[in-house]
Amino acid sequence: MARVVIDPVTRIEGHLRIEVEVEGSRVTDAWSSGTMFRGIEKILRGRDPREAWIWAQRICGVCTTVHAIASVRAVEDAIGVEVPENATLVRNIIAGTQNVQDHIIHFYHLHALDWVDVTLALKADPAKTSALAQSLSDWPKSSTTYFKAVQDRVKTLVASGQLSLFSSGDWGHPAYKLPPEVNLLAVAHYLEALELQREFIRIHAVLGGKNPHPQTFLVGGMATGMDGNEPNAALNQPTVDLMQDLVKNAKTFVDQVYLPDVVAIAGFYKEWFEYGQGIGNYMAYGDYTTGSIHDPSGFMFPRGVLLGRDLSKVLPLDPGQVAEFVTHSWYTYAEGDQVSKHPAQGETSPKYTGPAPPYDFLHTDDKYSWVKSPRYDGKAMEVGPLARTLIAYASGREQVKTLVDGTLAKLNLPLTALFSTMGRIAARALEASIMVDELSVWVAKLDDNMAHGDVKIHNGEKWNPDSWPKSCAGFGLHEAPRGSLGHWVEIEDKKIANYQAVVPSTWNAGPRDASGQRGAYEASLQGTPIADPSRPLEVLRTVHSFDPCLACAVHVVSADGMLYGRKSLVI
Amino acid sequence: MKDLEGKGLTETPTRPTRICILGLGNLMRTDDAVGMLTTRLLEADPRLPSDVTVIEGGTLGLDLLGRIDDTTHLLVLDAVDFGAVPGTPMRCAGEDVAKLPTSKSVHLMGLSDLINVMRLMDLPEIEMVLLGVQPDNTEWGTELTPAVAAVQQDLVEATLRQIARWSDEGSGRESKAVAALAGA
Repeated sequence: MARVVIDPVTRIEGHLRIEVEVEGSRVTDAWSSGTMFRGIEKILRGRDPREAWIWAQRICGVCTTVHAIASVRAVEDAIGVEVPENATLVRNIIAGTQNVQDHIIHFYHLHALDWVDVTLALKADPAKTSALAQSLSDWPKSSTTYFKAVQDRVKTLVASGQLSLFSSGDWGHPAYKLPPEVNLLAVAHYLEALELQREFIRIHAVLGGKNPHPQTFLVGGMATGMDGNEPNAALNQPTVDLMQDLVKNAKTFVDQVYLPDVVAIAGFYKEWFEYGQGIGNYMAYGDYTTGSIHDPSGFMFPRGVLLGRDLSKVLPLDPGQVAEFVTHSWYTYAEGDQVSKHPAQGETSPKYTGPAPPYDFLHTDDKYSWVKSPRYDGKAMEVGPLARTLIAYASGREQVKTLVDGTLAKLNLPLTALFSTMGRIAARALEASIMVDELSVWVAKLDDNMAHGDVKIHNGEKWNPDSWPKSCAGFGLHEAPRGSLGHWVEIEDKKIANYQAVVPSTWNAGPRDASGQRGAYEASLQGTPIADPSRPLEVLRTVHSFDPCLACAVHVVSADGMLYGRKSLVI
Repeated sequence: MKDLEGKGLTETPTRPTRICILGLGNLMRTDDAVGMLTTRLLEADPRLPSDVTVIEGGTLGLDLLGRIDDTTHLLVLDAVDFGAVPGTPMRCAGEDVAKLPTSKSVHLMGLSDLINVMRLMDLPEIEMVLLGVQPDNTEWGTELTPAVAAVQQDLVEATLRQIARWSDEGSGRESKAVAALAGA
């Protein structure tokens, strides 16, 4: 029996460390540890609640917008202000753009190299790749000359010795199964996805200002200027037309490249529709409405909970039933570490009791993570695109059902195949397709409102803190690309008295709770096959299928603690 | 100076000079914020030519692609851990930026990847200079340590000098930046 350790190397967004126990050639148990302490709650205390979002959007180095949205919603909920429809639309467009952008980047740039062997792409026949591409979709970039040119550029890069982005792959690993032509196709689309995303994200420059971190959020609405006839307004006829063009291009890419690629690659890895099943409980707060955020019936992503993979019953979700354990996390609660606490009464009192670095293993019987263990009604949950897709499917959403059933039919797989590593990947692509359609509806609605002279985008009724109660509390929920996100704020004398964020990766990457229930990563790794314990590519496949915004390195330690292999995998 | 070598007289520049200052770092990790905070000083500095773009890049990587791909000259400000005494400034230019080991900075993984990705995409090369400072502390916190705060103004001056040099190369003797800096 060996223990395989996946450990961090960078501090970009946070650290993730996974320890798995391997017996024979299967994972028998797993522990997930977030090794970065998120200090956001402490930094926000005492600040003006109206500027909380500016700080909150720095919680994650990559998802710039999602924390801003959850934060303004939390403060709006606390002080009791509704935002105008235009502000809701602009927020939907910003967040929806982020969703599509993140899903594309995840598939091509963060996850594809777990499935695609770049070195094999160099051996592909460009003519065969062209024939394959033309059989998959009408996407125009599919000629032999085109694939030959891509192949040559990659050859030049490899020859220069600077593999750069591609240096993280585990080339030649026996778990890679794609024929050379599919590898070349995927590499070409990897580059095209870069082209797409650098254009598409210009929507954020239109709506969020010139800096990559949006500057236009406001408690009560948005600060985005709207005036159809004003050349300097952020929103006018030319910028609306620009956004529609960008959305249209993204839709073409998602439908003709992203979705067909997922189906093509998944077809060679059908066993991954069985591995990585996980907890089987799925949760979504739900989100995206043109009405009030307090009315879940209008949500495009429905709110709800599924238990034990039972798609016949979507249970209602009550945000009051969310609570976090710290039994296995490096924090203490005043009431003791066996209880769980709702985020509104949340407490962040760090107390590290882990081994002093450098160390080989964490004390997994005791506390072993900086991530808390959130539970819903006492149960562990998986959140994210798969949870949202399943809940929408089980809620009878026709668009989702048609898309899911059609995709599974192409692969000749049953609905239950979605409860898996590859199911997460497929759900993300299906969600991007649905979201990109909806983006165009929201932009058109903004256009229509402007044409009718409705340019109200901020509700200033409660802007003055003198209009607030002496003490108040609220929460803001959002379905971020990676899953359900919640911010809870308590305001006392116009200042933040307490602030808690429960992020998607807390739900998925959290450790065991007081009763020993595993978190989503931990549960999903049970039974994962390992061809070569010194190169645990298969573990990364399942962990990456959740889209962790974390960077990992891998080294392998034998059960007696002797280091027998070390490998860095920077993702 | 380079323009005295005579090259500019025979070679027609294919792209007009577009200078961009990119600050990197996490505002909540003490000295890691130095690049970001310095861009703010530069934005408030009347000597900064109005045609220079300033971007707060934060900790973003590939998302910055669309923000810098029409740039010809990029000046990056960041905290760089190169094992020196806290507050020691460093300068790195050209191909050396693309070759910097990823572990040397919290963010350069994204930056060197960005450069290589632009090559793979066949995008025009960007002339790049990195101005960095050795951090003292990169734990949670929103104030620079004294050693790093003390070199912030030096970074501002070095940035303005580099921009003046680039502007000078791009537009001969008409450079606004050089004129603005004449008394500095």
